[in-house]
Amino acid sequence: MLKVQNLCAGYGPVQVLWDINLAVPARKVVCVVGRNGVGKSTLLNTIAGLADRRSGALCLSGESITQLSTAQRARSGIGYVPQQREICPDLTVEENLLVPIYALGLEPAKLSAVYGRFARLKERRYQVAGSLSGGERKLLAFARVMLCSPKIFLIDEPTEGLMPSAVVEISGLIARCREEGAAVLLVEQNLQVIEAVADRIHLMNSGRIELTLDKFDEAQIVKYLGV
Amino acid sequence: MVNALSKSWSLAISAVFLSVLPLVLPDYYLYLATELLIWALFALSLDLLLGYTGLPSFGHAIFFGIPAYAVGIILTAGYPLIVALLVAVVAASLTGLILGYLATRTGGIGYIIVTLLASFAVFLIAFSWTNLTGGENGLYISRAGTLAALSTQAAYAIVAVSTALIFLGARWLVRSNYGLLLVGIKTNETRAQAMGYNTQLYKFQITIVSAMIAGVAGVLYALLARSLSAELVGPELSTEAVIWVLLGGTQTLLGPMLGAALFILIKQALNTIRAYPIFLGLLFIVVVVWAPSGLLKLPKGLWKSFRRRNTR
Amino acid sequence: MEIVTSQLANGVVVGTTIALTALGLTLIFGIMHIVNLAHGEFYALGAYFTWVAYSLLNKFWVSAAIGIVATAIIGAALLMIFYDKLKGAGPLRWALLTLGFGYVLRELMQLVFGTDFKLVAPPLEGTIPWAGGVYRIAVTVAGLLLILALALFLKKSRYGVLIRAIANNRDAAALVGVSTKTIYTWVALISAGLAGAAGAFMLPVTSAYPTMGLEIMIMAFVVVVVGGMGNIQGALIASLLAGLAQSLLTLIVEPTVATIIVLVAFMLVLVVRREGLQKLW
Repeated sequence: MLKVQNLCAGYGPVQVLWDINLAVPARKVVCVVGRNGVGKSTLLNTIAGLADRRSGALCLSGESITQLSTAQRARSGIGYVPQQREICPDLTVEENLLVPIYALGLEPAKLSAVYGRFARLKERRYQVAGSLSGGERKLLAFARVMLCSPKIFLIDEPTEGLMPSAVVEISGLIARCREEGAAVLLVEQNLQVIEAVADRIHLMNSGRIELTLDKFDEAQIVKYLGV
Repeated sequence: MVNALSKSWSLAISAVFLSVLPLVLPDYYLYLATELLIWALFALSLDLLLGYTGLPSFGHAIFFGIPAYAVGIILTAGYPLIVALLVAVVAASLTGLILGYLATRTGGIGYIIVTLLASFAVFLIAFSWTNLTGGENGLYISRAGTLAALSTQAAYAIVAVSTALIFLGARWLVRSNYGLLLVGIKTNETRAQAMGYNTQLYKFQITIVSAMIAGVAGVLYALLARSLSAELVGPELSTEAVIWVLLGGTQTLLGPMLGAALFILIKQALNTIRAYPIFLGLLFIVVVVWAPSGLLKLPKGLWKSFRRRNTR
Repeated sequence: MEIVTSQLANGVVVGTTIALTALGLTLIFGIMHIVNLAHGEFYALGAYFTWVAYSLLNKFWVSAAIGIVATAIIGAALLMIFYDKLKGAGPLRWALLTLGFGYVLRELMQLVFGTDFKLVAPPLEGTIPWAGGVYRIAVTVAGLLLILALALFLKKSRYGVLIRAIANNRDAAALVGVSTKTIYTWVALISAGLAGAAGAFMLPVTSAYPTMGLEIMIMAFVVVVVGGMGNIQGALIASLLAGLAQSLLTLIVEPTVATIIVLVAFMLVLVVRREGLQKLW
């Protein structure tokens, strides 16, 4: 589904990623693991078009997306749930959900479908999104992105700082995304979540992928997490 | 090393160039050169704020015009030059204090607007307070005791030496740890604060230093040109100075000085054309869109975009 | 006494004009982070275009509509033409670019229309005691209605939601497919259109002249800063305050001095309260 070839990227003059190669097939969850600051978020940002690509290619279902803007990438099937600043905090929950509906010209009925799936968002529909709890914020961010029916989800540390019950809910959500046919590229530090959902694991260190595991291997992962 | 060597070479060449000028130039052009040096000094003072500290002052003419008016008003009132100079120093410090305080109160875009409005307010005051400033008619300083009473060469020498000394002082300042800190504030103020520096204090201090240098330029201008008008404190000069700095390349000291000279020469050449502000505006647009890092770096930028196009 | 009330009424007209101009300024600032120093020229363009249309059609309100639309299109075209080239440029470069546009526009208007005042008779005649001309009142109402419409548009409409999303979190909006460039074009159209509307409405009051834009822009900037940058409600209230203060002050001092007093007073407000008058209401 998504192919990343020889990608080098960064922010302005600062290069963060060196020669990244990876592929995320449909109905698979690929995990990226590494310490803070090794460039995991930059990788997702670059794929979504928020960081500056230096060289290398990005392909989504066989078509190059390297020249597309962030919004165009979102329209062509990249669904990114960033770790921070993932919603519009001053808008209400409902307005947050209306943004993709209006931007993509979807039917308004989609809104009730979302509310059917996320009852908690319906309860809080007129509340300002900035006042939601961490878990609810994540749900809202997921719901927004799901409205765009992406081919691949890029998800950055969705369980960071959440309560255990919310962690379970989010990993269930990731599994659902996979079952519904999407590919998932997940950045995660939580070992339980990794073990539960990952089909393949890339271990990153200082801007490069150093090791790829096709099976959960706690010893190796812990080494790269540096706990 | 090579870089440092070539820089000291360029300094030596500039020094030789400046000292040869009075020997070869006829009086009229030497006078023009003197005026250009004054504007270059003014541009340098703005580069300290804009280029090094990242304070985009759109009201810098205030620092130039108020001390100039102070000298003019005191001299016209019949006091000796030394009193006028003292008053100018006080006026420069006061304006520096007020705008320095404003700089610590607003940041980024707010700073642009507030300084621009301040410049406009001072312009209106200078324009309408006829008893003090001559208002619309301007203020004329009598010849005695000014630079104009000296020979063109002597006036040039005084201006050239002051400019050179201030340039060297500024160069020393921006290369010191203090200067590095200023650049640090510009690049990432939050980080500088996190490292324990009182960034507001530094911004305040550099505004005063910059005001003083601009004030010297203003006083020299008053003593040389002897005719002052409200434009010298107004938004037009303020914004034009920003373009000089951008034209020459920010954060280089020498670049803005050359930028000022170049811009004023272009302006004088265009001055005879009807509706020359159109060309002025177009020049602004060209600099901002195609030469954001200075005209001196324009060929490099063009080459880069050319290569980028070809590799795509 | 009547002179005071009619100056009050005049202050409300001036305040509404400043508000329309300032709202355009604050929109473009709050959403695109641009200090638009050509904004005053858009106001002047609005007046001149309306004058041109009026001299051809002789119908004021139609001409005003034409003037507003023409200004919106030209203004947005100018703001968007270098949008790609200036991607990632800071506020400084935008300010200088728009300043350059301002020079060019002002001089072009002077070349084309000359320096004399272009007059248009008010489309509504008659005066109301204690309040002044009927046209002024009509213009105030029209201006306030326009502002109300803008507020509703931002609050309720499709594009309003998208505009607020971009203003609030540009990346999060782009990630769900909002094209920033499209939205920015809309914002630029609205912003220039508001300035054009102010200029068109003021044409019968002040007539059109080349420096009219410069004068209103200074006031608009003052109220945008004082009202809290990017804050619509704040800009509106500050505009009315500034208009009233200026009109009442002209009863006792010269107009220039009145402007100076308003300028200095508002800047003092800024020194005392960094966030301007915001959060006072």
